[in-house]
Amino acid sequence: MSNNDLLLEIKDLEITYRSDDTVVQAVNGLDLSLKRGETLGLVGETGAGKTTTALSILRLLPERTARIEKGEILFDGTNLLTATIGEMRAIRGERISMIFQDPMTSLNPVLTVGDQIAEAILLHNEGLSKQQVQDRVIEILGMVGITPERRNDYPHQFSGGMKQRVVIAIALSCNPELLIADEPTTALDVTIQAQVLSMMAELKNKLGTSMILITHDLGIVSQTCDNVAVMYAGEIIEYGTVRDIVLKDKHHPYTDGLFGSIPDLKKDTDRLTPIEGLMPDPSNLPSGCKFHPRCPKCMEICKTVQPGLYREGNHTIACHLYAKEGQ
Amino acid sequence: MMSQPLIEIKNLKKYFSTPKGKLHAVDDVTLSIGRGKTLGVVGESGCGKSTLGSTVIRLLEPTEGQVLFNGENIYEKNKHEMKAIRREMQMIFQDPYSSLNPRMTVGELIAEPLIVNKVYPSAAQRDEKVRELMDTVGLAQRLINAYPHELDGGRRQRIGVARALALDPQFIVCDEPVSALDVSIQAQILNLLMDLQDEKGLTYMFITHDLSVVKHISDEIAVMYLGKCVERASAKELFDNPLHPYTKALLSAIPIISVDEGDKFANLIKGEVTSPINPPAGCRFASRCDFCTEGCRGQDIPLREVTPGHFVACKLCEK
Amino acid sequence: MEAVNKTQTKKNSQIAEIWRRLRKNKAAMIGLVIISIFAFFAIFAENIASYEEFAVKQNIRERLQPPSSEHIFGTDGYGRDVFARLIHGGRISLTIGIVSTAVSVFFGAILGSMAGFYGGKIDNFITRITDAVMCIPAILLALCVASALGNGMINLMIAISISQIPGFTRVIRSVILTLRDQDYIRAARSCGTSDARIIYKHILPNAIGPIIVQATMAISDMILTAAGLSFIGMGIAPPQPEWGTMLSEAKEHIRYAPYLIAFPGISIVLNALSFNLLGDGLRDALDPRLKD
Repeated sequence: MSNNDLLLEIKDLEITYRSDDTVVQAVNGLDLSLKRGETLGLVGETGAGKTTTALSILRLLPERTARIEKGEILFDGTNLLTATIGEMRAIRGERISMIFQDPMTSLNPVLTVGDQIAEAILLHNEGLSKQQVQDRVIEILGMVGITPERRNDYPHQFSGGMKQRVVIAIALSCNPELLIADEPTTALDVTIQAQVLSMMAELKNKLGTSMILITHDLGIVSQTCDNVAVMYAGEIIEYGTVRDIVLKDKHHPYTDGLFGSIPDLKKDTDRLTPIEGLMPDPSNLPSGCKFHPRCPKCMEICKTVQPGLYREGNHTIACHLYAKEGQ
Repeated sequence: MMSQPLIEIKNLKKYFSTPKGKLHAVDDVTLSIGRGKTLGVVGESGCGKSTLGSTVIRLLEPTEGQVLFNGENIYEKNKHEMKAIRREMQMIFQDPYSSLNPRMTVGELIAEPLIVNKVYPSAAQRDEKVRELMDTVGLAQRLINAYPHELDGGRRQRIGVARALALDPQFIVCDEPVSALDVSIQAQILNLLMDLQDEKGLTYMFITHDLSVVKHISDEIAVMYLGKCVERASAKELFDNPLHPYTKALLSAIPIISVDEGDKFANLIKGEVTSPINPPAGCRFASRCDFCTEGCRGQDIPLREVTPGHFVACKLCEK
Repeated sequence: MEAVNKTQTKKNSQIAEIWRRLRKNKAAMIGLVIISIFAFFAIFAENIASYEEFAVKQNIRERLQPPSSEHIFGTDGYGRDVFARLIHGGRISLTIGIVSTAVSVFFGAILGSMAGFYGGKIDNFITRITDAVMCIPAILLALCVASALGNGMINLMIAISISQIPGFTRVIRSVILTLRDQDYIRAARSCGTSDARIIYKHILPNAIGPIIVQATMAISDMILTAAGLSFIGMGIAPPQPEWGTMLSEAKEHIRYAPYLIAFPGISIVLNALSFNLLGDGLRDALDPRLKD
């Protein structure tokens, strides 16, 4: 694995939110890496810290309440956490783009769709003529399957799925190296979701973009991603290729729980096996392994000692169950 | 020998007047639900399933059609009679955040139906019933004075379930009750609903867009598209043998957990849903259907029984 | 397992939570303190300085004296103690502000509820009238009503209340429109709750926030309007020590006794401003989005 190959490397990231007297530990010692051209699925439920991690890459966290306690985010060798605002602005939109969950609020309702794409283009390519910009706008709209005349329409004239395509168009307009997609299809109908995901896969391959896809849907992950990282309470508790996660039978008990919570379309199950209890309060996390209060396989050591990483090839699991079996 | 179904929906229509014309939210839907059974109503946004749910329990007045509860048309009942019937038909709502009055405690929320219907003469008896309901749905007793905003989505939804059960109804419309919840909490609530059905013999209309959930909980499933029911069959039959092109596309669009290339998005439907306002006669799915023929437009296509218990509204299947 | 005590305290925590958030807003706290001071003096006005002896009785020999140890705010053109007049005037202003607001809220709530809840023709009718009345500047409206009814505190309060009712009708109507389609209202209907119970049990308690904010702003407006009307002789008549009246009387002495304008003027400004700041602070404190 040469250095050139690694596009993004997150090392030991810790992020807290502070308000009044409470400290919310959103991200706790996160390690992640992404190669060029790879699609990484970041899976977890509400409150796991996925969005916080994504926002921190682009330094978009709310200034007053969020604090990056420690860690490094290396993008193509540069530590984004110590970059200047000028350097970040040059990166945002041009080298790293982000799309958010709700297409309804991601677009400015008073500007036409064409204007919004043009704005994104002009921000990073100042010397272009009006005609050149328009040409590029039409080109990008074509890439996402929208006819050229629609560039003069306003967001409210588009359906949810079309709006999300526009958002994707804006994100890809400057051909970024990394696209961070935060639950891009959660708000869409399942058939439209299929269209949008298929389109994203095509574009990704054509443009060679790397992608971090944040979702709670294991199905989407298995269909679109190369590697998967499962997040719980601000940590990555399991990581591996899609085959590792879907086919192998060794998993973190939380991952097992997630699989057990989802009704299987191919089999008939009488009762689902949900995970007991609730997500821990991020301002009052359990000691030791953060999943231990809910874990059906909890052992004494889990209550006090943070689990290390059990590794089998590329598949890592942070669990004491497997640590015993050796590295 | 089939006993009379608890709920019979006959040619139900619900239209809304908009400046642009009549919006056909529910358009001539005929369904029935047997006692103690679950009918899953599935479809994407704009298909009319939520409107159907609200109209069936008369939260909305229908434009045309009948809904028979135990053989009697509820739309012919006056306000007084309706109040008695409402006790038998309840609803669980989708959004655990907006379906609970933020200024009422858990206890007050669950007690409200009992107060309004004057079920118990004394507050003490009422309180006892509230505690019993909290136990039934798995809410800790200590939460009785808590406010909704202090609780997570899963617990809030349990309050919604308790409230729906308060009047001991026979029929409950579940309008996307788990869609807003995390996957692990979804499973808890689904198990709860199924256990309650077994214990109390409840009849459900389960509305959802999530196909894996609907398969798990339903006996029979009705697929809706733009206000019409396009296919209806037992849960197993629908998934093993989908006939309507829309149903097929819907099923294949679900991202299943698998690494087989063949399982990836196969039949992508092209285009977008057409407008439900003043729709032309004929199959509503025609413009997006790969198998559309001449005969599909111009005349509405009724549901026909293709194999026993399996109904489809499609020209192609009428052989 | 959490202790039973925790659930008991949780019932009151909503109000405590709002108070806690309000406390952090310095401007609102300053407003609250100022209002409290004025309220204190207003309530105990009679005990501090007897009305008859100091506020009303004329004492020509001691007229137009600048502030001194005997008369801390000086005396006016008729020799009356300015401080005494001021605190009695405060009593009047606050009474007018609070009572008129209460009356406006009451009628505004009824009209706004009917318009918002029933919609259709009722809504149209009420809204058109409200819009029409709102076209008239509040102070002109109050002026017209006051001149029709004549001087006096009661008439002044009627005039001011009428001018503020449309504002409340609007606010309450819009809150009800927002809340009307909430799922918990549908839930209430589905178990047979009557319209009346829905309005008073489910809707109005949730509308309290915007109503309180609007009310504090209204009090501020009303103090200004009352003073304004009295200033031009349409409201409280002399010898009653309303601040506006005091300003009016101070006009002729402005050259050599500017303190006669300063004290009532500052009182009016401070009071109006304080209610305004408090209202702003309450609006923020009651905003559910700022909740955890």
